[in-house]
Amino acid sequence: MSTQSDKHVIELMAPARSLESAEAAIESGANALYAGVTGLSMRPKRTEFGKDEFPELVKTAQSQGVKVYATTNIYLKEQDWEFFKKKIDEIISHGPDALIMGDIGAIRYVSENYPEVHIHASIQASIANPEAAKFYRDLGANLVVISRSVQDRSEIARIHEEVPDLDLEVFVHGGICFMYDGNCMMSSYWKQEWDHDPLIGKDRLIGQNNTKGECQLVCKRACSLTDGEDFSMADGRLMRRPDQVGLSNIPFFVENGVRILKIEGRAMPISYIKEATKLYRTAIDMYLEDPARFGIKADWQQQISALIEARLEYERQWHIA
Amino acid sequence: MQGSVSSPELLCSVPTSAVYAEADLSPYDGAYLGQSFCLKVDGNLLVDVAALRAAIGELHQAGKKAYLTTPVVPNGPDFKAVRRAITAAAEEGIDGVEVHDMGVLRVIKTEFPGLKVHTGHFANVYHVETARALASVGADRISPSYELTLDEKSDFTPVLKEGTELEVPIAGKLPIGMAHSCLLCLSFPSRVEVPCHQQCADRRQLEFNNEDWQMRCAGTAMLMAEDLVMIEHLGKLASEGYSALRLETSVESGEKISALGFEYRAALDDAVAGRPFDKSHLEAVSALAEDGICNGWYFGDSGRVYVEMAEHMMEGAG
Repeated sequence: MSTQSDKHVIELMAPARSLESAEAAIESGANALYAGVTGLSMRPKRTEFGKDEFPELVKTAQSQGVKVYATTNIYLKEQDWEFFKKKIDEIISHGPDALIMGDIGAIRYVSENYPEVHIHASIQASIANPEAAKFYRDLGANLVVISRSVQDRSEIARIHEEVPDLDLEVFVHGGICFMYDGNCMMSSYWKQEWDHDPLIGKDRLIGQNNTKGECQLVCKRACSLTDGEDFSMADGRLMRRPDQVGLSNIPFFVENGVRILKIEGRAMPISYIKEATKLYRTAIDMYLEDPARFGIKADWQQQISALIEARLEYERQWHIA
Repeated sequence: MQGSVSSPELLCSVPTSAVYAEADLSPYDGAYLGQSFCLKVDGNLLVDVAALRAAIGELHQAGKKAYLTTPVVPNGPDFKAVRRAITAAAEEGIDGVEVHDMGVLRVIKTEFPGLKVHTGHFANVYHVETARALASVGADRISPSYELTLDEKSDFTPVLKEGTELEVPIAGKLPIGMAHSCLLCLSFPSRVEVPCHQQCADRRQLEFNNEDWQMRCAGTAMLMAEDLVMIEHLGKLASEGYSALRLETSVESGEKISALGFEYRAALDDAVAGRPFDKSHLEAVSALAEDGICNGWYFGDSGRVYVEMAEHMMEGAG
């Protein structure tokens, strides 16, 4: 179990997709931001920070006591390696508080060449047991993000008990994949094609979720479960879950060594980021102030419903729903 | 064409004791035992430890390699079962254990230091430096991601000279996604949990009707609907020096595993001996595929697509 003093270092981490969204998240109570850097994160370019924006983000956030974690969690292919090395050097020079990484080769490269840099093992690594947490610690990670697909939350407690020297992060709110993170190739199985990528100056295959986050949301498409012949057993979608909501888990997370509570949604509108951050700030503060009196408030349910509706609206806008 | 090419191991996946009993594994050099998608599968060799021990013994007696596969993301009680299976397999002298999860890799290296480790498809190895990083922590054989093209896989071959083995898939239904819950035990689409009735043993497809394509549903895993077919490319693969060629047959019957094995064995022997490719093997394995064939990932196309080899190249293949 964590001590009361540990509870004071709990960070609420919000997504930043632009300087404007970063400001909104900070105003709403985020202690930390995660931000994709052009070409190295797993989200669309419109949500990533460019060469000039990233240093400004770091400066703006850190000057207000807010940490910045650079999301650099693509799985690297040969075509990406030189670009990655150049870009990582540039990112590190701007002084983010940590790099979020998934690729084992990339983690080893950074831990060997930049030993002072903190590394967070990404959700892409699907860390779901204490031994996996130890593996990434030994590889150089200072923190691991626990798989948001862990079925039994007691596994989080077990990881903390067995690896107390490692910081833990969980996704507390937001969209969730049907597949384990880092274990989905449905997109490129369905459709991928060659195109020129000006960032790396090479042609590359576009449409791989696992390597570049170019998810084509196969799990949200209408389909039928059949016996392979003519008999349709049911119609539906692989993934119809709304946002993952972790308000009621806050006490458990805090008491079991989780240091960072993360809100998913770099691709979501700024209003979503703002409202989700505000809600979780309120809930975390309430718990930290008086754990015994913590409980879900009636108006939180309304706010959650609004967030779920906002995600559905986003999905409709992108023709997913 | 390649008269002096050495023959890679020809391997298949044998998920359960029933499939093991049914399959004629004589065409193969070895097999991966166990079903990595779900431990609830009846007769899963990862759980039926007595059957696992017997299978390892029989394979060794037949002069074949026995490998154990392990779950993709084990947690909770599953992890205990994995430890139990590895312990039994180690006692029987297993030739290697396939891991996707780095926790399992760590357990083997710390608790069973003599065991060889193969990292599987879901270990997400997309770059040669990642392969080297895994080799540095004890991986003996690497399976580069199935999503990579033939050329991208070729970028890994320098590690062969560094003592790391490489394995690539050549047939079967490749897994394309691993879920945390079973689609067939969640009463699709309502998501109400229902008891496991081993529906995954039957053919279950997810059909995307408006888009005219499908996937095979194995409960917690989604797989290609089509069969991967690389039989006409074995000459190239053998000449690249790959250590092992794998038929991913985790959802296939023993009968089909055997039939595929005989075709691939004959084609591989021809390729290694430098004999021309016999197109009847392609026809035979295509006929075994219930939902068509594919190889798109290897050639930079969508995974479900089949890219035909040019006629003049096929004549020279082998």
